[in-house]
Amino acid sequence: MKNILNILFAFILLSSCQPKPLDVKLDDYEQEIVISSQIIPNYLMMVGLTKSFTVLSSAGYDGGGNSEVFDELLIDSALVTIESAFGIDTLFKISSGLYASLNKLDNPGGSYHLTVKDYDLGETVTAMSYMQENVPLDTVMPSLNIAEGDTTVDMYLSFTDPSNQTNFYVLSVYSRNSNNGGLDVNTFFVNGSNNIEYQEIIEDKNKNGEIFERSFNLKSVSIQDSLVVLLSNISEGYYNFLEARERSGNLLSDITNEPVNYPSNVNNGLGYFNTHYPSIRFFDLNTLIE
Amino acid sequence: MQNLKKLFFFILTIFNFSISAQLFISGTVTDESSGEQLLFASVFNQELGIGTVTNEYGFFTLSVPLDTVEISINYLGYEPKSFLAHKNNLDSLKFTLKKSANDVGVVKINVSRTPQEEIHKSTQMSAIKIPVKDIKYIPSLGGETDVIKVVQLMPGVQKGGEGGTGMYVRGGDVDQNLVLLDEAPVYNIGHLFGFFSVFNPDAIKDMTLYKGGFPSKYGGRLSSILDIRMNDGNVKEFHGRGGVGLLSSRLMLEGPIKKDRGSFMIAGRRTYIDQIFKWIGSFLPYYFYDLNAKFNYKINDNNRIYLSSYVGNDLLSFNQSEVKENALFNFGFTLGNITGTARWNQIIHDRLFANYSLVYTNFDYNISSKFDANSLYISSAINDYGGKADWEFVKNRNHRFKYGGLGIYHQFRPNIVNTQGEVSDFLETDRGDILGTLESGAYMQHIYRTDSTKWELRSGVRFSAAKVKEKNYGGVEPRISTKYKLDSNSNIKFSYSLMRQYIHLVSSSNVALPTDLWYPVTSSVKPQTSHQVAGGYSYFFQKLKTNITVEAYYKHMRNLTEYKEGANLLLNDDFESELLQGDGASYGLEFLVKRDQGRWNGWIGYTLSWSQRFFDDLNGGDPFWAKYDRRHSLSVVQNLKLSKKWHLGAVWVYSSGSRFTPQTGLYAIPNASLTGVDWIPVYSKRNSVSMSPSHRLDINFVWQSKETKIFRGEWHFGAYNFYNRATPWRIEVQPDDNGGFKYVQPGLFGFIPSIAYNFEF
Repeated sequence: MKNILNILFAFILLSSCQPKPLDVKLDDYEQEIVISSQIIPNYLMMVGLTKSFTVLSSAGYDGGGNSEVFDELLIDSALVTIESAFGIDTLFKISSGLYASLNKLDNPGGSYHLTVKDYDLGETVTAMSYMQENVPLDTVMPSLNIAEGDTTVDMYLSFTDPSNQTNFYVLSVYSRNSNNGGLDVNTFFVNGSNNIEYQEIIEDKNKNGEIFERSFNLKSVSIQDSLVVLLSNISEGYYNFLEARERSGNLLSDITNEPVNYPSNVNNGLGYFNTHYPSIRFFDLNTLIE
Repeated sequence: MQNLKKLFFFILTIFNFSISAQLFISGTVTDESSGEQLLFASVFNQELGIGTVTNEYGFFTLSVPLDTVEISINYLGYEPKSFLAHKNNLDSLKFTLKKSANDVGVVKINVSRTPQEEIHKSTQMSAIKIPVKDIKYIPSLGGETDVIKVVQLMPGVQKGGEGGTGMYVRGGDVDQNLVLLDEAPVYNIGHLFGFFSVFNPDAIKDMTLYKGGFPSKYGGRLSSILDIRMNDGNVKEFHGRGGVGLLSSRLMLEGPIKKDRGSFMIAGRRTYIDQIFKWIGSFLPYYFYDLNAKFNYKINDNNRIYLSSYVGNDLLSFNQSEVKENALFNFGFTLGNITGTARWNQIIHDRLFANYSLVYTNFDYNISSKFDANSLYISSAINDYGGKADWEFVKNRNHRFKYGGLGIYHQFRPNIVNTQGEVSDFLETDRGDILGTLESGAYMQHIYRTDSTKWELRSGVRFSAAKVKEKNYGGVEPRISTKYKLDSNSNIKFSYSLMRQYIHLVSSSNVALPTDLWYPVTSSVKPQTSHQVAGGYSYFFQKLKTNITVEAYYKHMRNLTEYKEGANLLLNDDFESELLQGDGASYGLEFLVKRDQGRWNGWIGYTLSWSQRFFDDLNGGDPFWAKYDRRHSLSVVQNLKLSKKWHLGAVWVYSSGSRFTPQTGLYAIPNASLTGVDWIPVYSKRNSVSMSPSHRLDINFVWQSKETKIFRGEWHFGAYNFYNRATPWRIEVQPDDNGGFKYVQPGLFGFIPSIAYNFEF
């Protein structure tokens, strides 16, 4: 009986053929200009320019994230201007794909109009952003714990949400080793040696005008580190962009989440042009040793 | 109080019993050999052109303006029979029919009226009646006759993924179908992740699918009602039926409890692929089973009671120690339905029939996993407790009424999570809240037929309501269907239905899983509603017993639910915050050519349809196509008796591809620490790309091997996907010839032969 069943199943398996898969016909992918921006307080405004590319290219599924691919996407042939209450400012190229203005551009409540003309792609993109009013950090209290070689920081902070207006925030804590220039707040983010220790996006729904408090523990720090705490009052659009980023970007979410296209305020392009101006606190952990 | 009196007198006027010069012939039509009640049998007087059909409980009342009349009773597969009814012999008439010498589907033409003919003659449109015994030669996956797969071959019904039991009716969503088994709702209609339906064909007598023109007695879903009735059981003799297939075997036994008074039917089915794998030294610890049981007892000529139940489960139990010594990984799940129905049919009067039902339904799943010191247990359930009453009253040959009401209490027990070990760091133990919802409804329906029977109008109204936590919902649901007879063979029909739906399906991921959870409306998630209009033309070729119907429909749906883009749904109890509500619209044309009798019978169905969705917060606010918006669907289903011993069943289907949202691009933005970049996917517009169209041929040869007076056996030799063409069911990325990548659409099943042996005694 067992042999008969073996033969029967072998017959079924052999004769059950897997049909040849069919190809999917997609329209050709059109590259788009991608905008990102960052203000370093009292220092400069930077605008990053890259190009999107088809996921079906050789670098698409296998190469996403490698530096060679990224270098090819940097835009270095663009005219970048920002129009604000201070006039029209033409940004200069720091390096391939990175443009900056050293002019003082902070104007809370003001609007900023970005125009990018890329001579390579022959495209022009525009974006507009309002700079939200700065919301100060009321209290930032880090306390250092050193036990058996492990260093952790208990962080407590608070800020007061302005009443009668809807606000969105991004709260970030960065660390950088003091030997890597971490003691200088103006160069803290230069050279890419800093680490993100904590980030949270916050909306004041149901808590408008109240005091927001946060307590958390930072585990990946050492006493040679310095910390920067940033609180930025951001636009709702940029909040949605960061929320989409928070929801996706890990293996589990790629498998289980509904597909999401990140929101963008760039006309004819991708990414997000934001002009938030953060409140900032700086700490050298060495000085916290009691 | 004054208003109540007016209402009372109004009802008395409507149901005025004092009728003169009318003969009311009533009763149930039964199979002569088994005593089984025959649903939707035709009862007809040729001379006057007056007729009716037995209702879903087998009862009829025919009103004729004469003292003596000859009535003919017809039912597909049975020899027609005439009865001479006189006002003095009405009590002694027994309306029994004898099975035709030829089997179903091969009876001589022109002898029986078919289900399709009855629909053609009635005001009902957008409905399909399928006697289950008619589908036993239709080829199927693995040789397992599947009633849901047959429904998917009808125009207006789109399938989901390949091989699945998902139904998308007239552009609706999968949760908009109410499936009733002996009046109890069935929430999960698929075994093995939907590849097989939970309905054992041997236990099922009849099913009717309503896609529109909904009778007032039905409600609770927007897009379809699938009303399935179990066999009652033979009240005269003991009989059995069964089959042995490659995947499962089944057996149905029926017989009298007390001859001509009561009977039982018990049917069971189990897959044994786990046992076979074990036998040949391999390991696949999965199986499913289902059991159907029904008892009925005739208390007297006017009262009969029924008890029926269904129990079915899918079980997986993987214990790694069975394949590897000292291994510590265990994983298992159970998933199943239980339904129960207690019914009392009462003939109160020769013109007043009543049905009272109590129903119970349970659907639950339990998932457990253990690895070293970590354990995870997840369970969820829905329990329904309901009662309903239906009355059918024939005032005279021009006016018929149906009215009734129901109440059903849904008890929802969403995800219960119990974790131990490190896994509890990211998945906390949560008992979940038990939610209760009371759904209720009351309806009245009036059928008006002119003396000339040229014009017929069915109008009705249903009041439905749902009481949920902190919120009550409800409203009126008007229904209307009308038929105008153009000539003896053709008519035109029109219908309008408003439907309301108070529960919806919450999926735990963007992949359809049986663990998808039904959930009630809440204070923030509103009920879904739909308005559907349909018009159609029907022509019946008497000589060929062939019906041609063409129907056009438009359906507007409100408060459909979708998830936010990027919604995280895996084990997320706060899915309400991830839901969005919006509108939908679907429209299309359906063609059906159907022949139920003859040596060569079957049907050809074609659907041309569109289905769109409108959500402010999805797809940038632009309209988008529904996932199963398939532009063209064609089904050719043919049964052909080749000889006395041989029979051929064949199905050819063509379908436009379903839609998906491919990732098309990538871009980089600075990461959170500003030290590198994050790669962000770019997707196309929602559901903007269609998969390839698919077509498939399935065949089934049946050889009747042995037939004696008490035993009949037949071999089924089948082939699924005969010419081995892929039917896309998902998207994969593969390297292309140019060093890049391409999307491809693999098919799930290729050519699969099957063999099965069916018997009855």
